[in-house]
Formats: sequence, C-alpha cells, structure tokens
Amino acid sequence: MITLTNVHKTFYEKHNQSHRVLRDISITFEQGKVTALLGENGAGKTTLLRLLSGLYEPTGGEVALDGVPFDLNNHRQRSSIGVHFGSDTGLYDRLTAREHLEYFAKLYAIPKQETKQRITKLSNELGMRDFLNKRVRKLSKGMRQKVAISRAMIHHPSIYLLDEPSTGLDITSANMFREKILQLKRDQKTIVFSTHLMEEVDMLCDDVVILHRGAVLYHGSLQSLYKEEETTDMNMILMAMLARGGRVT
Amino acid sequence: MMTMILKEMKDTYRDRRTVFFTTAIPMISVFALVFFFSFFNTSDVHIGIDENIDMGLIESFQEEQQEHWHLTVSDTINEELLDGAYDFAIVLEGNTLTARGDFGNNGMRAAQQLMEMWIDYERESLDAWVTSQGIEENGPSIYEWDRDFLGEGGDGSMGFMLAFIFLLTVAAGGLPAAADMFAGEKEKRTMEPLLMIPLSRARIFFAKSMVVFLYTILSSLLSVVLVIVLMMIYFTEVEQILAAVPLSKYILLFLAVVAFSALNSALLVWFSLLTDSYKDMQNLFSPVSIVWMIGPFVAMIVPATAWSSWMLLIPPINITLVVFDFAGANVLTLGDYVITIVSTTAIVIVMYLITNRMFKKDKYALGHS
Repeated sequence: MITLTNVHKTFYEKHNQSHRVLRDISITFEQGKVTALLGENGAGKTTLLRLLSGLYEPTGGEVALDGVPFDLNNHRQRSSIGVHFGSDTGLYDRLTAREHLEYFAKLYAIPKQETKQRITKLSNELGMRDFLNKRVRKLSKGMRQKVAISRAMIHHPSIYLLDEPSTGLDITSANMFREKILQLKRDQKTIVFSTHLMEEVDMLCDDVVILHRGAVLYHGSLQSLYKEEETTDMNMILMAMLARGGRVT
Repeated sequence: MMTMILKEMKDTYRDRRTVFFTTAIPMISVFALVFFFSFFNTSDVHIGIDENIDMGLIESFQEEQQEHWHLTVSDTINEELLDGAYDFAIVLEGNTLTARGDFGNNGMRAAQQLMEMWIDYERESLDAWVTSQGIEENGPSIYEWDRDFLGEGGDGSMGFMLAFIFLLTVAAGGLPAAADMFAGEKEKRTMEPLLMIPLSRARIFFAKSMVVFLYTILSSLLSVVLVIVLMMIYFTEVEQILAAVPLSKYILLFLAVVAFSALNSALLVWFSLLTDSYKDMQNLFSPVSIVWMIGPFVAMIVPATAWSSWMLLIPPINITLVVFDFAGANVLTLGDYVITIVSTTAIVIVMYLITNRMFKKDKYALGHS
C-alpha cells in the first residue's frame, strides 16, 4: 500500500523559475488493487509515478509505503517497487534482452538459477522468446516495451508502477500484458499505471485517479465513477470531467 | 557493485566508438608521431656545395656527412638550387658561407650540423696557422664549444613525445566511457531504472567512475608502453636512456600516470554530470584536452635547471616534468615524484567528493531538478 499525504512537487529551472507539477495530492493505493492514472498530456501522471517510485523526492508532503515513510536509503523499500518508465524505455542499446534481465536480476541479488527460471517465465508470459538474445538496438518499439516491462517485474516486487505500459504493443502482446496484470492482481500486488487506452481501464482497473494540471480531479473506484456519471464510456467521462475542470459532482 | 562495473565495461566495450578512442587513437597517434620524428631524422637531404669553397672544408663535409645526406659539389649551385636540385645549398659569397634554401625541419638540422663542421674546420685552420707563425703553445687560449645535456635525455624530444602522446591519449581515452556513463545515460534515460536498484547513489557513482577510470588508465598505459617500444625501435639512444633509469622511478612513474589518469577521469565525470547529452559532454570537454597540452610546452620552454617545486603541484605541468625526467632529464628526486603523485591524488579526492555530492542531486544525476 502506498499513501500520499499532501504531496506536491515543484521543478526549479534556471533564473529561479519554478514549475509546480503536482499540487496537494492525498491518495492511497491499496494492496491487491489496480489503479489507473488518467489525464491529459502534462497533467502530472509521469511525475506522480516517479514520485511514488522514490526517484523524485516530493517538494512537500509525505509518501509512505505500508505506513512507513519512504526513505531513499531504505533498500528493502526500494526492492519492493518495480518501475516501468514509459515508452522512452531506458534500455541499453548494446545489451541483449536477456542480458538486461540478467543484469537487473543480479543487481537485485537474485540467484542465477532463479533468474533463469524467471526470465523463461516472463518471456513466455509476454512473448519475448524470439528476441531474448537480440541486442536491444535491433528490437522494435513494442519489443523494447516488453523488455522494459519485464525488467520492472524481474525481482517480483510488491508494488508495480507502470507508465503507459501498453503503448506500442500489438494486440496479442497487449492481451498478454493485460493477462499478466490480472495475475499480479490475483497475487495481491499493488499496481498503478498510467494510460490513454480507456478499454484497458475498463478491463483491468479497480480504482481511477484523474489528474488535471497537477491536481486530483477524481479518485475513487471505477464502479462509483460509472454510477456517478451514469455511463460506462470512459472516454466520455474523462472528456466531460476535463471540460468541467473540477471535482465530479 | 562489481556486477555494475562488469556490465558497464561490457556495454562500453561493445561500443566501437569507445574501443576506437581507447585503443586505436593512442596507437594511431603514437605511430604517427614516431614516424614523423624518425622521418625527419633519417629522410634524405640533398645538399649542394659551392665548388669555390676551400677544398679542405668540402672534404671535411664529405668525411663527416650523415648517411641520408646527398652532397653535390658544383660551380652552378645557385641555378641548380632554383631548379629544385637541392633542399639547400652552401654558397660562397665574398668570404661568407651562406646556407640558402627552403628549409624543412630535416634540412634545418643538416644545416646546423654543417655549420658545426665549419666551426671545427675554422678552429683547426686557425690552430695550424698559429703554429706556423711560431707562436708558443701556451699563447692565447683557444676554447672549444660542446653541448652536454643534463642526464641521458639528449635534446628532450623523447620526453616531449612521451608527455605529448600521454596527455593526448589520456584526454581522449576515457572520454567516450565518461560521456556514456552519465551524460549518455541521462540522454537515453537509462539512469532512472539504475537509480531504482537497491544500491546507494554513492555506490552507483563509485562503480561508474571506476569504469571511466579503468578505460582512461588502459588508454594511457597503452600509449606510454607503445611509445617507449616504438622509440626503442627507431632511436638507438632510447635504450641507453631507459637503462639509466632506476627501478624506483619506473614504479613512481607508473603511479604518477595512474594518478593523472584518475584526475582526468574525475574531470571527465564532472563534465559528464554537468551535461545532459553525449554531444554536449564532448563539446565541453574538448577545450580541456587542449589545456593539457600546456604541460609539454612548458617543459620545452623552461630548462630543467629552472624547474621549481611549485610546478610539481600543478597538473598537467607536474606529470609532464615527471615524464621529461624519466625520459632523460634526470633532475627530479624520488621525493619530487612523490610530491607529484600526492598533489595529483589530493585534487582527485577533492574532485571525487564534489562529483559524488553532485550525483546525489537529481539535477545532475537525472538531468532535471
């Protein structure tokens, strides 16, 4: 479980110019639930995910994992998080897909034999067998995406933070990925992901957080949102909420 | 941490650009410079000698000429010189001998040597004349002039070459790895997943800095060894120079090279942290490699007897003086070598502490704050 209390984040640029990206966010992401982060480009979804991962420190407020304030030097807390950093996958061009997974597994101190089993399992689940031994530079965007997702999962964290994970995936791969998310949910993992694909939200999510200009427009269960908005068309709901620019009534 | 060092080494090694800069650049520069020096020491020089010059002097030139000189005695020397038959010619005009020509480096050296032969000839002629006049032997003193360089290093060209190539390769060798480790990772956004692993930033920083250092030291040691081997092949006196160097100086030179490589690595890391892309890093660091070249030129201009102890505190001057000393100047003590190593290491430690602190800030580690 991750709890944010009055969190805000400001980026400071040259000449003392500041840019407030997140404003007064108080949310709890519960264990065993899948939460979607929705909002327009620049709403603060990626920043929120990076803040949840500990990569960014909040300018104010507190982030806590299972009630314990997040500490960058707490390696147990860091090991409990798996992060996928978006379509800009952050992979090393000169390493193969397998070498990526082996490298990160080693950094997380996973034994060699165990690493082998995990790589085989992940490559079966996400359809990576054909290109496991190819260098990343030669892979398509979708293939890279799968490697990056696998990297976030290799150490079996309890919290998954995924930034637009299905972007670039073909229909088969996207379905494999969704199946994997549902399996993680069954395993009582906490999953937070950002997306622009509304059918994915409908298929996977328990809760929804809608961000607008760094502030939370809505946070609650998907079912409540459908009920309050009297429709299950997420596209319509989102457009209407963003147009209103305020909290759902 | 070792995992990270090995992976970074493997990843960097797979980059042809890095391999090229780390190994090929030192080798190419060493071969080019040694070839350049040896070419100007041994390539053919065509010299015209005016037939009207005293036969005794001409014979003296012919007897003492170098293997690669081609002397031609002629009475139409000026015309032949203009036709391009000679690199330069010794022409008699009145009672003046003029070395006339379009001097290349090699021709200049030959002209200098011919002038020294003429001085010897003049002295011998004067001695003979004085004796023929019945003047006593202990009459006016006739002095001889000789050059005796301190140590075994001759005119310092070996020291210059060693220092020049070392500083050139030390600057180029670690550059791709350093650019890759920080600026490159920020550009490709690979730093973010790396910072998520359960290792402190200090340890991640240490591992990455170590890779930059290893590549730099690999490059610089390769260049130093290569330049020594090639010079031994091309220049016979080098073996004699190196044989005169005590083992302790070999060890201290190695440590000084390691210390300076570490300093260069620390600077590379600093520049890599300051920039957000590979290209910016290269652009920013290029002037530093030019600054390094100050060392060899200072050592060439300042005679070994005028080297001051403060010079041993300032890189790259200190490492250059150590290299010059090793290559034959032989005026530095072991203590001077130690001062160079300690002062360079002290700067490395300060640089490391500064850069380690910088890496803890998102602005430098990730490229934004």
